[in-house]
Amino acid sequence: MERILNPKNAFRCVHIVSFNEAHHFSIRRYGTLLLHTVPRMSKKILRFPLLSSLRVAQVFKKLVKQYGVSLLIDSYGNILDNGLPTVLAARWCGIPSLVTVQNDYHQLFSTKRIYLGYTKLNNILEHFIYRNATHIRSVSPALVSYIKEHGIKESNISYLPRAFDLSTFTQPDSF
Amino acid sequence: MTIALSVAKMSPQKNLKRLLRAFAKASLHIPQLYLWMVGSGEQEKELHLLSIQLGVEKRIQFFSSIPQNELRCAYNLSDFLVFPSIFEGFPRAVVEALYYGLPVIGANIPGVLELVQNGFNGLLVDPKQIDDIAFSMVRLAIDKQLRMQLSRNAPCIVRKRFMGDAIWGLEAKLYQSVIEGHKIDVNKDSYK
Repeated sequence: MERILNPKNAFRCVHIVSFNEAHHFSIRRYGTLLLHTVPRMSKKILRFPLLSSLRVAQVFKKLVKQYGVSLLIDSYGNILDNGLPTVLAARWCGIPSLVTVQNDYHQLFSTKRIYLGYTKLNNILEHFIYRNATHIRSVSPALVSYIKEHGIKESNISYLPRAFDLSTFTQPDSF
Repeated sequence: MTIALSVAKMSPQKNLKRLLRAFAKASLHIPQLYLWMVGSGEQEKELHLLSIQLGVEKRIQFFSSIPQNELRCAYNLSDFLVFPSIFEGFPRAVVEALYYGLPVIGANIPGVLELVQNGFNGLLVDPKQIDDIAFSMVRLAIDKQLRMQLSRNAPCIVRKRFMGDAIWGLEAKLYQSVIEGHKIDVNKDSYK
């Protein structure tokens, strides 16, 4: 896990924020990784993406101040759930942010049931994220064009696919 | 017996209703064709019902959520992956299947096009054309020679382009550049 989340030991320490069903905060260390478990927010709050993002951003801000974090990265999950709090907290704290785009969110927002009522708002938030991120990583070349359609300069976008840790796979039986 | 595999969240993006319809058509021609569907999601119940309506429920095995080691078995035991998504970013299931030497019937959409080369490691289809998907399933089910040939080529692209070590190095470089506010050059000289 450390190889994936702290590639080539680029950082002295990587803080990972994870939400779970436990109702208390906890911290666990795995080598250079520090896992902060945060209680999951109530379903009422989760229904409002802006509100839940503000709450998550506050958690990020606290960690940035407490540990002197130098970069906020949204590398997994949905752009609204993780990208929005990332860019908000980075702006509040005056540090750079890196957002990862891994889907065509316009199409996702217009097809996935949980987003259907908020398509317009979600598109605005997505645009806000791209405009405010210090840098954007695209996991596919096609998504680079998609991000550029939001008016983002090519110099602010890097295409870098996801790495597969093949050592976690066993050798396929057929080979 | 030929097993087609689908590994995908059961959401509209993954186009699984069309896959079921295509499978129903293909199975009329290939009585020994079976479909394993791995994944869960908002369309789970609808897909179960649709399989009953289409009369193919006995030839489809649904696996809601399975751990990585069992997923490995699914890749090893099946004959090809069917991945007819309407849109994609970077489809992990396709990369995993290719690594396991499974030919992929993939949608001709960005994201999949970067991984699947028609006639080399899989077959590309129009995801909105049920007949197109069905035809490719029949083709792979009956043509063992083609399946073997695609299967041999399948792992090449994964080993060549998505190995952890190379990309992790670039990730580290990207992070450092963002922190230092340098002009990022990952696009130019690092990853192609």
